[in-house]
Amino acid sequence: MTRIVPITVLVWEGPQARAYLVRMRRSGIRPQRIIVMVSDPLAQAPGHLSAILQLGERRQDKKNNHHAYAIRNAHPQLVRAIATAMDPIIPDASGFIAEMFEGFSYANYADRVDRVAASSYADSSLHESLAVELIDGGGAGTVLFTGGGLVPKAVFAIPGISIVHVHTGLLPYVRGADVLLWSLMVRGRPGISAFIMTPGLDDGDVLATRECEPIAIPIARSQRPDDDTLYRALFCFIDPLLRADLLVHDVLENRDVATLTTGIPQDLTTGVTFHFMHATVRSRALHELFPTERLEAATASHAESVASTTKYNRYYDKVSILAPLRFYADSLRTKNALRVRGLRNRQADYSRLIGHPELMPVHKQINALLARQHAEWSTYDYGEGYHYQSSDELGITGLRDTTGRVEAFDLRRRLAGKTVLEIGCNTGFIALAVASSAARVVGFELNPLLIDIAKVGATHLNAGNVEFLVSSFEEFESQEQFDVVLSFANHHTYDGNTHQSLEDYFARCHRYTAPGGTLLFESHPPALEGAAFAKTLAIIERFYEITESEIHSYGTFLDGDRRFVVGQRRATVAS
Amino acid sequence: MTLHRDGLLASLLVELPSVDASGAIATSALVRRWLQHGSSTPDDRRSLDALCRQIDVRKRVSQTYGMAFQRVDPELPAHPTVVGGLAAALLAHAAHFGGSPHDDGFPLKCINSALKSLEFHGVPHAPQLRGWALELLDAHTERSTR
Repeated sequence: MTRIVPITVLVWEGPQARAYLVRMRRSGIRPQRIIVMVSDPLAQAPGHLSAILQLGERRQDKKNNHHAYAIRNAHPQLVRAIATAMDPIIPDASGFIAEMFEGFSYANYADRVDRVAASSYADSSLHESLAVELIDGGGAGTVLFTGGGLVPKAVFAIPGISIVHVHTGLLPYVRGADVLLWSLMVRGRPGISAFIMTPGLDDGDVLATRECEPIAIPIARSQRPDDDTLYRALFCFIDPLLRADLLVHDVLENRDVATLTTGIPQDLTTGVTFHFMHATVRSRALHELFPTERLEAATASHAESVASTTKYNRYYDKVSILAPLRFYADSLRTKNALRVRGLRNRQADYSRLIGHPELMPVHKQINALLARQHAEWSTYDYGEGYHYQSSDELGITGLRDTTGRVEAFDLRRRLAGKTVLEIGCNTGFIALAVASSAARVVGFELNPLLIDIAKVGATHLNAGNVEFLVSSFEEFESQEQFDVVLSFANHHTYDGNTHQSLEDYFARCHRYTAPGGTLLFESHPPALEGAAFAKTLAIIERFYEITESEIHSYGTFLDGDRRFVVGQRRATVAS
Repeated sequence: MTLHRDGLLASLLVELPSVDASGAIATSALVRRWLQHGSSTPDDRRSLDALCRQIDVRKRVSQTYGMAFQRVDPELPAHPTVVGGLAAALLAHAAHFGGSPHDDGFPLKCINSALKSLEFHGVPHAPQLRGWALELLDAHTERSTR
């Protein structure tokens, strides 16, 4: 079903405007009106004849979208790699990009498309006529800005006008120019914000913000274009898609467009206004976004790892005294540090299994599922083919020490007799470790094969009060509220599977915490949280009163230095 | 900081011209203070930020400014030694705050502006200052990919 929203898309020809309209169409949204600003010199002829404006529009398509067309022709593999990386954010990103640049016509995206001759927003005679167009065009109060330079004060002075802009930086922290690259360098991930424009620089009231998962688009060294091409590709195929998704998903789909005149005022005392990057800094940023060689190395390494983990399945059909030696020998040949630890853990576990034959069928089943998920799961495998979580109950050693975690956080006491929700439970070994204390535990996890492992563990341990579900947090739905919500290093994930802002994340935690209930939160290691962690705590504080916050020392190299926070649910969310 | 870098800062300090700063912001005086005492106050950061803007957006650094770094008429360019000293002050600020709990990206912005300022004409010790900037950039990259 198509919905017409009372918004005027002020088109400055280019990927941004096109991405907005394609994304709107995908959600069944049509703007009330499109105004195409035709800046081509041909269109500046007196009279503004419709035919001349259309000819000028075609010429500016060729000019303003030149880099997009050229890169698609000369570097199709780059565009494919970008589309693959963007798929988690924009499903079928390849089709999305094709729609932007193959047979695109503004007439397909709104019932009314007007053209105005305008060489720039600063052209006073022309923005006067733009103002007239806006007013005559039915008083379209909300205007979507699609780029093209600074908007002069005269446009803001048009009565009733509210200009919405989407910026690829998390406001108020990242303002200015080249902000997508600055965000990658400074915050390690792209951020996007929709806000109401003012004559100032990125300082208007905020309508929506989102911080995305880190994006890395590996490019083979032999196929790597120069930095200028990568930089242009960023603005043709990445930046506009990110903006478009926030605009449509977080603003147009979820808000009454009539309310887009007001947003949340920014704290203008915080954040940094960045300017264009020096070529050297830009090159570093582009190498973070488009890492070289990782593709071939990672693909080869992953294939080798998949072959090994699958091959080990046979050792669980019949006890082999050679198996521990094989695990050890393979660990010496492996370059990936996490896999080395995984193999050493496997070696130790297998040696113990020889004395506990009742566990052999359980390990056989679990490790076969683990090998399968390593081969089939398309995004990052936190255990690199081996166990991420440990379970002393099941005789499994992982990269994280579950018993150490449970004891350090005093989970059995905190969860005694409580209903518990665990976000992103991985193989469910924490849930299983605390099941005997809690009244009931529900754990969910996006990766279905990890949930299959959790269920095997629950069956073996007769954990009848534990329920495991396959779901992302964004899609998780329950009428139930829980006494305790566990958020253990899930507020950001490094597999590209989380698509909500921190605000949304903790709002959802709050929604599933019963009145008087508790959030138990564990951070990532400090190096990964970075300087932004204070902001994370500030967001938690809005939803929960933080009563404990400390760093525990226990467990493996991955357990150390993480902050454990206890928050009591606020009855009213603080502003 | 290495002895080599201490020597670089000492040279820049000695070479800085003295300017009568009455009634205006004298870039040379600011740079001298930062090279001698560092730049750790909020006012220091605001001034560094304003000078980053001069470098990045206006692509020039002036001898003096009015209140709030407004341009004065006539606007005279700062001596290249002042620009070199400013680059060093920006890098020293980035070295001090980069990777700290207070790192909100401003240290990297300082490195960026320092690199741009080193492309101004005649800046003394530019190769050494550029080398320092690249070291800091390496350290940033190492932290962010760890």
